[in-house]
Amino acid sequence: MKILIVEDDPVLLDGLTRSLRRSAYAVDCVRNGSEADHALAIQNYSLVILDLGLPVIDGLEVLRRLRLRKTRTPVLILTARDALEDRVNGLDLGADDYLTKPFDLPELEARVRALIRRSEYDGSVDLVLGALCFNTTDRSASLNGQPLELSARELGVLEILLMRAGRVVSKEQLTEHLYGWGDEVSYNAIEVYVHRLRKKLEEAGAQIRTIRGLGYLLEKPSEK
Amino acid sequence: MKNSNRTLRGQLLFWLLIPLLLLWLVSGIISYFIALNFANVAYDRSLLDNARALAQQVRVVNGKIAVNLPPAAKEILQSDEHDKIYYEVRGPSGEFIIGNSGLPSPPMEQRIAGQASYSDGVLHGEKIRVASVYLVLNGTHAKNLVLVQVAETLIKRKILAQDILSSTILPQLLLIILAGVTVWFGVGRGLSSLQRLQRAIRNRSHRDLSPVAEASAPKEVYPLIHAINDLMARLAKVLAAQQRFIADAAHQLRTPLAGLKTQTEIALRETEFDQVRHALKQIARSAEQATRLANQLLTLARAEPEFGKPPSLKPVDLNSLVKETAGEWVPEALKKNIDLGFEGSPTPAVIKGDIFLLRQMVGNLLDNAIRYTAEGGLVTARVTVDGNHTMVSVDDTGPGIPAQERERVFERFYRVLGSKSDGSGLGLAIVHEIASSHHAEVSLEPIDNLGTGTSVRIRF
Repeated sequence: MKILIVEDDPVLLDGLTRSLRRSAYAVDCVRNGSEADHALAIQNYSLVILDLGLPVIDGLEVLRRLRLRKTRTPVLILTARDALEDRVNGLDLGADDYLTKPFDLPELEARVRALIRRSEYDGSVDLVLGALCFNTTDRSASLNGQPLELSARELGVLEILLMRAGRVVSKEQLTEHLYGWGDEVSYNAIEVYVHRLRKKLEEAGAQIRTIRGLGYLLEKPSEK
Repeated sequence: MKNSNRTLRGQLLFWLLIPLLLLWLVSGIISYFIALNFANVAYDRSLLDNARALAQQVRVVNGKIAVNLPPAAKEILQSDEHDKIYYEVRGPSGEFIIGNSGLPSPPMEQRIAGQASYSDGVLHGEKIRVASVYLVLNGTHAKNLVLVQVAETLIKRKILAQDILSSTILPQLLLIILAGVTVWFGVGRGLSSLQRLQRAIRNRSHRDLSPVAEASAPKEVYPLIHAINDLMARLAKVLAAQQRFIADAAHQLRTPLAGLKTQTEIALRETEFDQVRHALKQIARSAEQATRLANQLLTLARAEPEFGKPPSLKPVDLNSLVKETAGEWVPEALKKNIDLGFEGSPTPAVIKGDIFLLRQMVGNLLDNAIRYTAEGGLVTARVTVDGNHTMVSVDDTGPGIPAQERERVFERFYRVLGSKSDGSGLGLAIVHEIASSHHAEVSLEPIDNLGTGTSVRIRF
């Protein structure tokens, strides 16, 4: 799950980034409209948190350009402008949610989860595969009702494999979801995460298969 | 009374009734004398008739002059409803023959037979009117003239004059009262359209600053309505500017507040000391940012003439003002290892200005210069006097401002692309506002041909 934050205030940007990384999201952040536009043109994000009063290119323009490219990435507008027409305008241009500054962090986090849930998990709160369950609200995994001890990266890998259970997930797709810019990306590390995860999932009867040259695949138990 | 003079109705009544009453008084006096004249003419004739009738009774009996007055005639002569009547007959040599002695002689010197004359006199302390006639007795010499006089007091003349006077003056007074009443109600009717206007204005919401419609008001009031509408338009402009400013200010404050809230939440959740410390640093940073923003907004509000009083202009020595302000910014410059210097002008640089605002202006210039200049850079505050112009400039060796953005940096809340600083985008707007309120020109250019560095110049 990778989130792009577009915000020109450094303190707020720092706070949002840290809070979302804590929730095991990969986060990219930019401080102006043109950088945001550029990032959105070359990358896929699970969610964009967009400030409206941005230098260079206004937030609404960034949103308009994003929707022109037929991208369905959910957009959460985060702004000081709270007039009705601003909100209507933002939502009409293709935003999915609207939050006015100053906001409560728990509310923002809940809205982020809700938006991602809707777009990535078809709206369900839990991803279930046999005895394995991934709760999208508190981003935790459990096996036969017992919580699984997983690191943030391992959770990330499990999440994407669960979302695409039965299909091949490439290493590139994994890295794109797991890392923000500036993070040190290494395929070896991914192999390590997959290895650890595989061991922890043994009991579940779910198996992560390595498809040589292509990536990984989480087998559904029934297919076994 | 004093108060009613201030109302239109009172003034109209005052200016109408006072002249009318004066005219009425004058006309009354004139009428009285005219009436008295008519009364005199009428009663004089009857007085003369009496004298002539008396004259016919004068005979010469045995060479002596005798008057034969029948008692009935005597009665007529002496009985009158209002006045006392006197008569007298005198012989050719003025000797008293019959009647009441003491009547004044006619003023005329030349005695002519049949000649009648009137005169005024006093008898027994009362004013009287005298009719006199001379006659020649049959059988005597033409020069022996007998004087017959009849006199009466003036009471009935006065009564007649008063009757005539009151019959003319009372209807006039009634007319005046009628005019007053008409004016009273007429003005009320005329003013009712003004009252409609007043109601329309009074019932307005204080937010409604649209022009007042002139259609319902009398034409005389149009200039007043135009003046009110003009004031309304100016008020609307100021209010709009104020509202825009408040909205801008609130929005600008929301962002540091959002940062504060978020970082506070994070600090409360974190258990690791380093993480908490990091969040606290961020909190301090946004608190500082909010403080600075609030201060700048206040300065801007004070600099803007629409918001209150015009700046109080006093002679200010820019040399000492810029020097002092630069001194205050030295610690900030030293933190970034920036070489902050001051170059004064050798001649006095005194202008008329507002000390508080000018200090704010120079402070914002220096703040900006230090903020956007990299460590180890150079910032110079300068005062120069060139002919009639005094100039304050602040030069820095920062990254400079691209040509296409040089105009926009004076706009409120505008921030240069890619600037990493926490600036609010208000500093140069404040400089611009204060300079304009001092009728000074602001210009911004790079310090060299390569386009690096920034020199902001204020020409007074």
